[in-house]
Amino acid sequence: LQHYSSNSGSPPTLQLQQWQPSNTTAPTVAALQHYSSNSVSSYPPTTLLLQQSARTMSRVSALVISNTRTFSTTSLQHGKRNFRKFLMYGKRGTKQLKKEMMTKPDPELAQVFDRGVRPIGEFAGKKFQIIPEMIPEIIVPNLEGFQLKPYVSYNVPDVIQGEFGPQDLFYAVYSEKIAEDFNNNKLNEDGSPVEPSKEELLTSEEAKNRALSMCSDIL
Amino acid sequence: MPRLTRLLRNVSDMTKQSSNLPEAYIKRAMDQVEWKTPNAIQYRQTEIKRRKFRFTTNRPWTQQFRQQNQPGTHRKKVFLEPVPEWTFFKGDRVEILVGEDKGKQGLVNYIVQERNWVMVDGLNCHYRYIGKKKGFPGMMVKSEAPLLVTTQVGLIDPSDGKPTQAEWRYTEEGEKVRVSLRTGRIIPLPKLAEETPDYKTKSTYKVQEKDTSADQLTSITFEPQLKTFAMEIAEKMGIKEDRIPRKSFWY
Repeated sequence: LQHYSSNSGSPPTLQLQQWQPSNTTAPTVAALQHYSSNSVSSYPPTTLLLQQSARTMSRVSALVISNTRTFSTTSLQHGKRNFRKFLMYGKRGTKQLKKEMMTKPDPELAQVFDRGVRPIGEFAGKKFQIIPEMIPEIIVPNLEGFQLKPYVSYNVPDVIQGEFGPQDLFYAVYSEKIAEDFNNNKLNEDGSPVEPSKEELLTSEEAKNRALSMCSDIL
Repeated sequence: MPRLTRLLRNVSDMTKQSSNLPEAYIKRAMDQVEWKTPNAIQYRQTEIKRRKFRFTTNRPWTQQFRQQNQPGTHRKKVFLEPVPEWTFFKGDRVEILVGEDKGKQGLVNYIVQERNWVMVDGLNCHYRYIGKKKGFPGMMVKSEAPLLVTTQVGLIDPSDGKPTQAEWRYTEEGEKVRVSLRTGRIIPLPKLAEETPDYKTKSTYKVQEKDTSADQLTSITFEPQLKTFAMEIAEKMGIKEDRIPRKSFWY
């Protein structure tokens, strides 16, 4: 706001000063011009409009404020103190832009509404091409003669079983042979078997390769 | 904010046990989210929903309970005497100590442990009309009123047939039993205590066609092998794979 001092002695609510635009550099926004009673000019929406009557140039007859916005810039909330719980959606963009976005969506930004269904092909332009390799082949074992049912009867005792971990697997696979070798003195000084079985000859690399060849763990 | 969900919204053990429903279902059925903050980064994920419920004779997963505990309904607090060890079971012989039916004995029909209530079969009743329409006065129905376990009802001692207070104690064998405080006589648990909508007693449950029987459940068919799951399936299906994937490293 620029200050304007009045010509008359009575103090107005707002200080008015005559301002000549020719003395200054290029006019910027919110530049208020001294004008005659007949002239009517348009102003940018963010300016304060001062209407002066022809007779009393010193007094402000009407003060009209249009389209001013306020905001909070306190550092604590980083200016985000207001409108945290008011869900204002749909305020961005003109109606024309929104209509365009609905009818001609940008392919990069378009949301895919597939509900998580995996595609079995690809779009070649507008046509959808089915790629047979993408169709999942679900391998289900033959359940003929399978005894277990979906529910459990109520008159059954609770079955409590511990977890079967890697150590249990080791015991299941190797313990018998180790015990046998120990009893028959078929172990070397360092503990390795004299006649190793197929499982005992297996190295960790070979075992890992066998497992990965069937199903890689990166998948 | 740490929330003690140990009480599962204060739904009692008796209600859960007699319903045979999974706890997750009961919790889900009771949930009525009034407002939930949107799923966006600037919002703290919170929801406004009821945490203190008004328990009634309607079970917590029913539609009527939901109606009674709708968001916006505010009920006065119910002051309850805390009963640390519940001693009343369905089918218990009990004597009413107050009201019109004072002195009469009956069997426990229905239990609402959240309100310390017990309904005795056919006693402490009142009449009401249901299904009232224009021109039709409605059907008269006799319904029991609940009785407070702490003051209005007493367990009957089998030795003399008079009401007493009971306590849980351990026998010499280590079994937990109810003992009458006046005489010391053990009050056995009624057979109907283990009744649920699915069965009268666990042993009398009739095995249906979709139920796994006891012998199938307890038989162990697992044979530990030095194979991964995929390798075992491949062997069974006759899938042969000799290719070894390239070495990969994680950094």
